[in-house]
Amino acid sequence: MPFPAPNSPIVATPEPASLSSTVDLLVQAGSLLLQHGADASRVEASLEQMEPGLGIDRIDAVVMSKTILLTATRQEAHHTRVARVPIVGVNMNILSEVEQLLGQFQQGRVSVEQLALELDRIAALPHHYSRGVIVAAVGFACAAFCRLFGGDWAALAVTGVAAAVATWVRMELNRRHTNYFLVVLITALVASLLAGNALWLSQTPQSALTAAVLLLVPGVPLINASVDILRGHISAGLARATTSLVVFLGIALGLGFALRLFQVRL
Amino acid sequence: MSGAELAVSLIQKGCWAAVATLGFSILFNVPKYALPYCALIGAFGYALRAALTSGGLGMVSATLCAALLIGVMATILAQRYGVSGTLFAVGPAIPLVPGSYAYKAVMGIVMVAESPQLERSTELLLTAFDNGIKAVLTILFLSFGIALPGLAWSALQREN
Repeated sequence: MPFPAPNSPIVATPEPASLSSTVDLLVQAGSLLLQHGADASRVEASLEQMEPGLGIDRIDAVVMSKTILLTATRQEAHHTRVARVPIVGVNMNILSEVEQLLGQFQQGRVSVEQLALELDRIAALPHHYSRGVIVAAVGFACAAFCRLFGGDWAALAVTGVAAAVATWVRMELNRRHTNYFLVVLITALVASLLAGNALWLSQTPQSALTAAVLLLVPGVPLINASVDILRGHISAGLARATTSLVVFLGIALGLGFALRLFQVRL
Repeated sequence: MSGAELAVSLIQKGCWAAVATLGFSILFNVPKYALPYCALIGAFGYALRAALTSGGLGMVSATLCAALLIGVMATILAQRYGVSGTLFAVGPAIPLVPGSYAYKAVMGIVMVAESPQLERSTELLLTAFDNGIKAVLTILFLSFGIALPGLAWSALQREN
């Protein structure tokens, strides 16, 4: 506690846990949710419903697109933390594990100590799927989009290869913590330059060029942005919407460059 | 198109949408047990939107209907497995994101900046605006439709 009252008896009741460690625990849980693709309203709701279990009178959480501000109040004492949260990427497994854990904690089936250990365990969980599987899966997904846009089999194959290579490039760039706009620009360029091979292999090259860059469409940030705006978390929503717009600009520039190069009109 | 032809094309579209949904669900690290459900929901959602748009409904309203279907199915599964509905809804939502509209809108604005004549700019701006409005509203209704069944369900539970 930051300010111990001078006149308080030395041993009154056993403290459940120090306020600062409780705040750390909450910030850890909130960061895990936010950095793996939860919307701001969901993070706030998850944190604020922890009040009774932690023996805290009030939790005020403000979640923005990359920051969590959290104050826990117990009687007269309160503790605040501002945490910057690096965005890692969408990971539904971690989101659902954290939510299940918080649910169990609310029902009293998990203690505070176990909660801290479990959060560490979840943070260290490996991805369910290997890099090779992810690369192939995104390749197939974009190939399917190509088919949905009316592409022929040759365009479908070209799209699949282009999207798979682009996914690999994007993962490598993200691993090196490259600026997100550069990642989009380079990935879009790689995808569309490779998809340009459809020009001499396929009758429907446009479908390949359009579908190959779809792996970059910021689906989750866009959906989160509108969920946040609809639930009144305007600043978090607008930040995500702006990021998505910039991503679309990056896709358009990368693809636009390739289209100029190949002299194709969509 | 006759009824049978339409049905065949819808089934085909549903199958391809299922492949796309699966790919993105894997990218988003959805646990293995949920993948078949995601694929199924993705196929139904996309096929419903394709059916409605071929029946003359606009893109935005058709997407809302498809999103509601996704939201309802995801909420039912979420109850059964005790997880959040997002797990089953995120993958299926991706094929419904109007990527090509959004791309055309952004590209249109870039082309306006490059265009030398006013008449050409007006035409480009109109196209960009048309695509932009469709993209924004489709995304808004998509997320609204997906979120609504879950919100309604939790409100109902609090009543009881």
